[in-house]
Amino acid sequence: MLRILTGSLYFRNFYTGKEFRGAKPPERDEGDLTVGNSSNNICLHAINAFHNMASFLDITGRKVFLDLYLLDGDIDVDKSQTKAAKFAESVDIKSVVKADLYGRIQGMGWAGLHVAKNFNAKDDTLSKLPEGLFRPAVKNYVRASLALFPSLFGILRVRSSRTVVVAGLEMIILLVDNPDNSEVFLHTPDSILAQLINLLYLPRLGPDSLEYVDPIINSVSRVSAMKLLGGYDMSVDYEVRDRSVEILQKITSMSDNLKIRAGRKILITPSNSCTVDVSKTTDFPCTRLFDAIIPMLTTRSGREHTPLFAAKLLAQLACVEENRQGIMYSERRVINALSLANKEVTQILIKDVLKKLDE
Amino acid sequence: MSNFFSLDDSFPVIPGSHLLFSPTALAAPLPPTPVEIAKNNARKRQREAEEKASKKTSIELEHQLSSDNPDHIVEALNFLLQQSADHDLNFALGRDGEKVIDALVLLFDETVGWVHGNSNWVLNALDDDNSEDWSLKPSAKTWECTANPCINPDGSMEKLEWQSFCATRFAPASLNTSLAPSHVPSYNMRNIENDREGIKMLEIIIMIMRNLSYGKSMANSCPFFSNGNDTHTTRVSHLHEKFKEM
Repeated sequence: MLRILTGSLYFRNFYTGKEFRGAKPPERDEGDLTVGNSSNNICLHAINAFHNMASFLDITGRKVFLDLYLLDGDIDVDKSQTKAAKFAESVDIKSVVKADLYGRIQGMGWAGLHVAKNFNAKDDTLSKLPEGLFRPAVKNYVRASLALFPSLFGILRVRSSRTVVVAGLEMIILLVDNPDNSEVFLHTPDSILAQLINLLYLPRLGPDSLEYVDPIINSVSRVSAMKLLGGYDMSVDYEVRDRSVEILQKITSMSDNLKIRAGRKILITPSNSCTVDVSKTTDFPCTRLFDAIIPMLTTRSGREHTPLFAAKLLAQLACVEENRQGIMYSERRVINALSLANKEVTQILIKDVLKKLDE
Repeated sequence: MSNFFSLDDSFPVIPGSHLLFSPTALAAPLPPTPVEIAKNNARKRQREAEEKASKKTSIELEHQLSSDNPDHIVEALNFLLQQSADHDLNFALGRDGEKVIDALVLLFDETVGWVHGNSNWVLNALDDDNSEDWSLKPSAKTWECTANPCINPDGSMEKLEWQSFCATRFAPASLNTSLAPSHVPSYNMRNIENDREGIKMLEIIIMIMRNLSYGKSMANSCPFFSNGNDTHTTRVSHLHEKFKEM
């Protein structure tokens, strides 16, 4: 199940449907527009499924081991053998854990449910289990859960389906919120950080926006030059921005290394390989990040807590000495923002950002 | 200026109007006649028969999905899609639900042309059980994307690992859509007669899984999702379902 959902995340064949308004190829009919379009495709459905399963995914394998321990996985092997099951690797936990009372919980009735719920809640009990004990039994599951993460970068780089990008960001928020995944996010690569920083400011309209449709083949009356001349709140794609700043704030709060890497300029260049880009961290401050954060401190569009997340992110970046240059770069505009920002944001900016420069 | 009404005046009431609004004035419903009772019972029996016919057990669904008859497959997929999309029903697979999930996975594999099952995937990245296995511990390598679409239309798909296989099937030459126009059909999906039907079926399968992961049914369905790769055990939340049946 995880396999096909993970595989679906590699779907990129999005049809926006709008390119057919102009020169419509004769070989395609209207039915094509409903298949794999930008807001209804298997990638989006798989992301939504992962969104709901985020709390069930367990990269440590401890909870799965508990289930294996409490319930016998091989009880109905003969009956439940389907075509797909023939391919599946069955784990005989009895060969791993020698226990006479293994798998008896189903015979305990409601008492068994009570025991299971208590075991599930007590993570402390589970964390005491040595890894060598349960890893052999759950290794396949752990690998399958970890296979989700490599696909995230590709999802963030999607340009032709805004819905997929927003849903992907939502999924990452849920994964970051799960404390079990913190060990994975401690190793967040530069490419992901750079892409999240890029998403902090994306225009809502125009050629740089997501799902941009070329006006040469499409007449989109809603796009006008006057709209493109609007202020920050009018021009920014705030749905993408709000989620990106939340993820960045949560990721950078995990370690100083991430704070340093996020504050430095990361170069992304197209590689010969057609799948991923090569990223390189430089010693220069990431001006794009600071330029994107400052207007967020006083924004009136999007979620209410976005200015707070932006202020906290700036405060975290100011915590490390390596980002001093970047904070100095944005100092004057931070002071300007103090008059427009709300009280909570102002306090963070004064105490945790500007005061750091005096130390 | 004089007042037209004083406080002592009673509120003007139309004579007899209190009878119209009084609850006691409402006529009591007449008891149903024997003919109506018979009609209601007939309707009830018909409704129950329809409900019974609309319910399919997991075993039946699994048989239909594994059938060689495309009509049976479509019928089962439509049933699952319809039931799982209904917000009021809170449809869950329940007992033997893992068999339905297995059948859906197999159908997905058959549609997309994958013949290796769960083998040739990350599950078999390293077979040795030593503690140095990097694939079990989160590291920088956890984030490495090894999937690479095979852009050669005549290239062999058999040796590809699962992620690259999916990328080749689903992505138009590049996973990075900022570099390539993503609305161009992928090499391997282009000019194939049944492409659209195949993608539709894949979409429906994933939609069913997505629907099953929503709402209250999630507590009973997600266990199959999260454990469905290599075990048929159920998670703790599924215990509730099992004990209800005892």
